[in-house]
Amino acid sequence: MSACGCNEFSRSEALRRAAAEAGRGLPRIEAGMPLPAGTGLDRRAFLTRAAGLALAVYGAGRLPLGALEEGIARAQGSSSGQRVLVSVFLDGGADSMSVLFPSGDAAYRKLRPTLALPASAGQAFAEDERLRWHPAAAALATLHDEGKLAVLPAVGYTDANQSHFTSRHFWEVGATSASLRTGWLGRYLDVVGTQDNPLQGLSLDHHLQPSLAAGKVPVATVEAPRAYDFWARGVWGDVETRMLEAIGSLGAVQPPGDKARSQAAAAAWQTDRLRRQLSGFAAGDGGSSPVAYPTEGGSFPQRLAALAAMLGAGLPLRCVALQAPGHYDTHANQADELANGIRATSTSLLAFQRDLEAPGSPTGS
Amino acid sequence: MALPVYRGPFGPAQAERLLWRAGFGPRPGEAAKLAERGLEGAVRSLTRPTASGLAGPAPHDGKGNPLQPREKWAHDHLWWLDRMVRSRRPLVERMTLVWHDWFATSNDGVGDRDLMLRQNALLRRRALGRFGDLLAGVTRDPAMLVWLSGNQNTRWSPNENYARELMELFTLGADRGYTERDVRQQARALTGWRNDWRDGEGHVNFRYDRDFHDDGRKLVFGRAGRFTWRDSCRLALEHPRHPSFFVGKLWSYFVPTPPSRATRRGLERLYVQKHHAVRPVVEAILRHPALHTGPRMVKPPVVYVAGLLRARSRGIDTDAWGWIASLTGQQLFMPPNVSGWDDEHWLDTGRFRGRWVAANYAIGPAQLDPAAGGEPFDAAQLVGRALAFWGNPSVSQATRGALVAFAEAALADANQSWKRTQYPVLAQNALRQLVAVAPDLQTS
Repeated sequence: MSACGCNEFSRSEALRRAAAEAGRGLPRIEAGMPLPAGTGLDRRAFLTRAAGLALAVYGAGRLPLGALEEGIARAQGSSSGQRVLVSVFLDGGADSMSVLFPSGDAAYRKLRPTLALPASAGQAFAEDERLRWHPAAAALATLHDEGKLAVLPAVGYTDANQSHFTSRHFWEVGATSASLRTGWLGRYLDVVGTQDNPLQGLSLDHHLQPSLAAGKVPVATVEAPRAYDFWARGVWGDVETRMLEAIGSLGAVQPPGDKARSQAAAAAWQTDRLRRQLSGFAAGDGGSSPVAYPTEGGSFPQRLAALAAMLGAGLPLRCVALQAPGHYDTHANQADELANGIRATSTSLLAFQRDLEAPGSPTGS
Repeated sequence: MALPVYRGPFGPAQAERLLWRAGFGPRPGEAAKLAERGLEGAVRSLTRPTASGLAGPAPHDGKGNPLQPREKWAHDHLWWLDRMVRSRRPLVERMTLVWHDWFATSNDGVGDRDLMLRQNALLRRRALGRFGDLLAGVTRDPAMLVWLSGNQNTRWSPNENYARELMELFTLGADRGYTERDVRQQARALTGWRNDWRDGEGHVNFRYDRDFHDDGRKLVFGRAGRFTWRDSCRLALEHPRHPSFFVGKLWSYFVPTPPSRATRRGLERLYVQKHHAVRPVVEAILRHPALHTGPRMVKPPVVYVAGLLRARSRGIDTDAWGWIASLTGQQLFMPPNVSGWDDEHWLDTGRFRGRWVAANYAIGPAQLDPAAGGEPFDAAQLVGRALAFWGNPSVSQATRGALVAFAEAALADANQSWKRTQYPVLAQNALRQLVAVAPDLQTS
């Protein structure tokens, strides 16, 4: 990182970035603390032209960067229709007894004299009326009512480890092993992924999500979307804005009977959408999505909007991981902190779902 | 049965497509001129050109220096791009590109631009001749000998690399009438080529050395003999599956839909009857109704870029085309692997941006100064002038509509007097860019 580059980050973000960056591992804060998955992976900067994304690529070994560009292009050509798994990690672990609370349970009220939610708060959980949704999770209730959300409550492992770091590590690697160095998504990619497409495992964060750490195939982190610019000589101001909008109009007509023309039009259409969304991702101003993303939740909604655009553009993603807004390791002030975090996360996820369903979106159903 | 010939009208629009498919697009007025010859005359002017040499301004690197294709990074690309832009024999140049993709050799593996340019000269020399001569030339071509390990294929240690691709990619197609045993036997027949390595110079002194050749008996496609490299090529060409492979592959460079069974058979017969001559087969494809009435085809990036420059009668006057080529996904002399470029996926969000940058550079010095004014305050007229800038290419109604809608919106924003002078110019600059990246101009 150059001296001036630090300005991009607050001190705490810079510290977190340095600490959690795969390849270096976390500083040992407590004895016996496991090294996060991905520690020791080689890391290289890479600017993919497919989306003008500045990436940090992990685990590409000695593969030349040109091979990664080719790999992405090849995967982009063959990834249509493939399902994509998006993992959102709630740092600290959300208190599920608050997200979906047992409203009528006497033990709940007795054990949580201050945190217990009013018996009529939120919506009832359709599958089991004894449970109710936290009022801040109304967006999740909506998705659940539509049959688009499945809930697996009370999942855990026996003899829970009381260390935050160790417990978190278990969830990231998907196993109760302190020595495992690959994440649960990373191991999946080791089976289905390729040697030259780092976008197959994309972390929409400043650091590699340990769940994505793979053992055999490369994965990547978006450092920043940039260089996906479309300027033209002698064009500026209002007219430039109109010109950029016109790229999408040129791609709007995709005659089904003419494959080549449709392909060219689709490229223009996807380019337009990606450009708009990435500009919002970079500037944090929301870009221009077909749906409105929430304004709370920091950059999380913009990251999801950019992800929808990347999916719409046909980028060859298979597993995506990002961190939810808020802190769920709530030692104090849980009532407010949890509500804020859950609200920002669930409203953003609802907007993301609506974005994918939007008419005209190639990913829509 | 004779091969079908296109009998519909042959006007500037048909000539425009022909010039893109069989070359690098028209220069200003060239489509109308070609149309006057009629289809047959137009095809023959391409396949049997009387003119030779290059027309237009000599290339330079942007600082007035001549290109150094052997010495400088990307100057090999610039050198060939210049030929595509200026050649008076566009089909010969286009066929050279076809063979570069067919016998895809990359300097990434050869590491010697001089050898790459020698191979390029061979492909051009044999562009429309007999395929057998081309294949023989490629088989002993130094760049190919290095690229597919022909120079490491000895009687003591046969290397199958070239033998495999000779059949899989160059003459027969994967799993079409040969076995692993044939690959191994062909590799033995191909032994004998070697060269020396000299520090500072690289690969030198390519030669055939009988001592390195395995002169034993081989069994290839069920035929036995003390075969040499020449027999190896001949046996591949005489293989019953070769004509269908050849015409199918050649056709795919000109027409995006596969030929009908009858057409394929007809082309195969023509190819065999003419002793594997390329020119008559190309002529039959260029006359075929499928080329003239069928769906459009995405222009390969280098064809697109050369065409933009031809439309502007502009030569190579910047070395930017080198890095722009990598943005568009096609660097000459650097195909991604031995099977060539993937013609199905020339366009994605990254490569579209590459073409945007290419169009911006092709407009380059012709950009208008908004402060100077001079453009009409009329959307339809602005669009007409932007199309004329590119030599009036054919565009669909949908594209024209999108262009006019843009121009109307841009002019509607001009709510002050200085804007009424400047916005038409800004819009003209933008329209030239938009025309060049429209789906119509990405395809032919």
